[in-house]
Amino acid sequence: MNLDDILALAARHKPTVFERASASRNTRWVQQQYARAKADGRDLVGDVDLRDPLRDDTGEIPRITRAAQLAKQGTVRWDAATNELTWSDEMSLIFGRAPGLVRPCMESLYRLVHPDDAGRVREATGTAWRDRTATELTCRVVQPGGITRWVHCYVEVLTAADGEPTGLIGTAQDVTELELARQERERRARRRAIVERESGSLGPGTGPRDRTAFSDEIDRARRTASGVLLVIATEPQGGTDPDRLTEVVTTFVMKLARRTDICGLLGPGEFGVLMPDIGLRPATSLARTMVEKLRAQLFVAGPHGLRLDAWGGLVRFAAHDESSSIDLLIDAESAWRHAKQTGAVLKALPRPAPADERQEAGRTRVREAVAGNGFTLYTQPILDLRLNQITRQEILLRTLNDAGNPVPPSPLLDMAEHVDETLPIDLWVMDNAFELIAQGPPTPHYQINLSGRSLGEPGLLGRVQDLLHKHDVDPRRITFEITETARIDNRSEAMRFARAIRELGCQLALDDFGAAYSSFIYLKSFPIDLVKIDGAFITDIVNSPTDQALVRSIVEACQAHGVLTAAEYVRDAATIELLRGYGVDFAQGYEVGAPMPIAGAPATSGTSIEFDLRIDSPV
Amino acid sequence: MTVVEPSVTAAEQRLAELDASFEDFCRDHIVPVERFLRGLCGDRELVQEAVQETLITARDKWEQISGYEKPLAWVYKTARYKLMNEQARQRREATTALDEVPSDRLAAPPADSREAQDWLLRCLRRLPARQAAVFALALEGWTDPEIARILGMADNTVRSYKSAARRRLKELAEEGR
Repeated sequence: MNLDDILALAARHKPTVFERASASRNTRWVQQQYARAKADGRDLVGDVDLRDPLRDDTGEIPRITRAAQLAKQGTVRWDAATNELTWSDEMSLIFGRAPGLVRPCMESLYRLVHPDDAGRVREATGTAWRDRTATELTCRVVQPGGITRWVHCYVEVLTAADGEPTGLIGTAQDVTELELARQERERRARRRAIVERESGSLGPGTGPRDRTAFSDEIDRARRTASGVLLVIATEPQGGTDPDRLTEVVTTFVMKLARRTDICGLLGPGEFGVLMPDIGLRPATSLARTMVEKLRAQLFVAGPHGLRLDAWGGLVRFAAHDESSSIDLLIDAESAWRHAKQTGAVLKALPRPAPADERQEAGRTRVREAVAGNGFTLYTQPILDLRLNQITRQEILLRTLNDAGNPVPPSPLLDMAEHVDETLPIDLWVMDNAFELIAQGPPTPHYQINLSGRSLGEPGLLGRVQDLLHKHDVDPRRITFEITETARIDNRSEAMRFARAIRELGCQLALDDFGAAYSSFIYLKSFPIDLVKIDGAFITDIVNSPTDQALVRSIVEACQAHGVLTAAEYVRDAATIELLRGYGVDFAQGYEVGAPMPIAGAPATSGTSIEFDLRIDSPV
Repeated sequence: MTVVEPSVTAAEQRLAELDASFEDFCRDHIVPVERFLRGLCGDRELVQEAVQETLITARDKWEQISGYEKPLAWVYKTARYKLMNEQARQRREATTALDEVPSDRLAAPPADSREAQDWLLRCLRRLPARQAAVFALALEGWTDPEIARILGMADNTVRSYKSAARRRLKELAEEGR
């Protein structure tokens, strides 16, 4: 709308009946208050200036100075003819100087302003003088002793009677508290927006949790109350549209669960249901019903209907139980395996397993998986952003499920970490990967995962050397990616390994940098060559100024320490361009290339590679 | 026929006249003065308090002030300082949460004269306070030298703020389209 139209419309406004009545009422009220104050003998003038502003005006300078006094502000006046400054006492105090002591020239004024703001003040006064316009600005002044205050200042142009400008006058007031409050408001608003946006994905929403979020829920539940953890496994997984099948089954499980239950998608075909405040017997009966209903249901995902086989394992925990969420998950997972092996629908544990039993069971599972070659290897290309060329491949582990299909290894690896049995898996990967590297195309470089847990195992170095030698692989073609740095517990042993492996010619990388426990301290103290920035900072970086700030600072810190950087979860070309601009060295993700099975890897070749399981116990 | 009571002295008659003239003044101007301050401050209670206090002082000195060239100029000037001091005091004592600052959202383009006034007040509050004061007084028909004297600023400042305020209001009007 046109401003003049609005103004004309507003000007047409005539006081309404209501406004007129209110004016009369307020007038009476003023009269009453006046009468009362008068009767009390109150002073009704105080510091109010009684002069007639129109008739008693004696020119601009006294007018502005007086106005500043009334508003409790200071003034400083610059006379263009003499280039001298005149300070009011209040103004001197604002600058932290005793009245009368401030130097009377413009340059000295600039010197009292914070160095970062002096340029702005100079420009504002210069522009005001040149363009004959009033202006205002907020700047910092540095008082003697270094105390910094924020000052808001109006700058006005003084004019003589003949219309010629004669100087400038500044009216200022200390606004430090206001400015700090403003900055704090801004910060809080920014923080609130970020937290709301970032927690949106995790939030206490109604969708299924992923494994990590579900573990957090278990920990929260067991701290305050008793309850039951149920894990349901289904087979087959995959089909023509595995994502759709997972979605359909997850929705079905969530519908079967009670409203107060919390559901999680723990792995391929594996679902968790956390039931707070429930006894073993009702939970068992509920769980049995759920598994039976799952078995009876015909799921449609893709062209054909599909029936699933399903098993349940549950464990009841008491309030303040000392078993952690991962302990409980391992127990419930062992329980459904047991049910499957014995042909039962469900196995219920009235309490968590004793720690040593759980550890032994977990270790046995890992050893069986390794002995049975229950793994296969994938590779994913890594783009060198300087050359715009694939120069590396990461070797990725996949576990084979009971049907022989490759699935993400995280459930097994989590458990292996937990029961201290990562070394056999790491060695299996190295043995098979080195063999494939030796046979495969001459891609210059491979990255292989190595658990932080294995790093502290004495004798690891010797085994790596043996395997490199056995397959005749040049150590300079290998980078070990250290995962789960939180679990590096034998620091001195890990450090010894790290130094020695680098002397051999291998390189070291830190995985998931910036998340969990993979912190800046490793840049300082650990001999690493490469940092892989956690995918959480990369997936939405194009739209997220905060992720951009974090990644830029990680890259800067790494460059300062002589460490290369790689970004994971790169999903589009815009992300690649952004990362290249930041000086990131490598990019990995679906935009560069998805993980692919390695031709000749154990499960796809159909031949199993012999692996000697007689590993010396590190005891 | 008017009967003049013999007990009414000249002084009392003068007082009654003063009362009557003050009341007329008050009734005619209390709304525009409040509106002027509301263009500077969104807190209605604070505005009312500043206006009432000013008028009580005006009543006390009405004999003097009513003789001014334009008594309303004094009221505008004094009410504005009262408001500014009150705002400063409130800021010093403010312990309210920093979190919640309701954003003074602009309404859709106004349809009638009342909405137009509301729109204007809301827009004025988005301007630097001095620019808003200059523009509001100019709208009320005050001349540039009068505005400079009421607000205590340089003559050149009034001109420069008037055009700056106008520019910004124009932008706001166009945003609301």
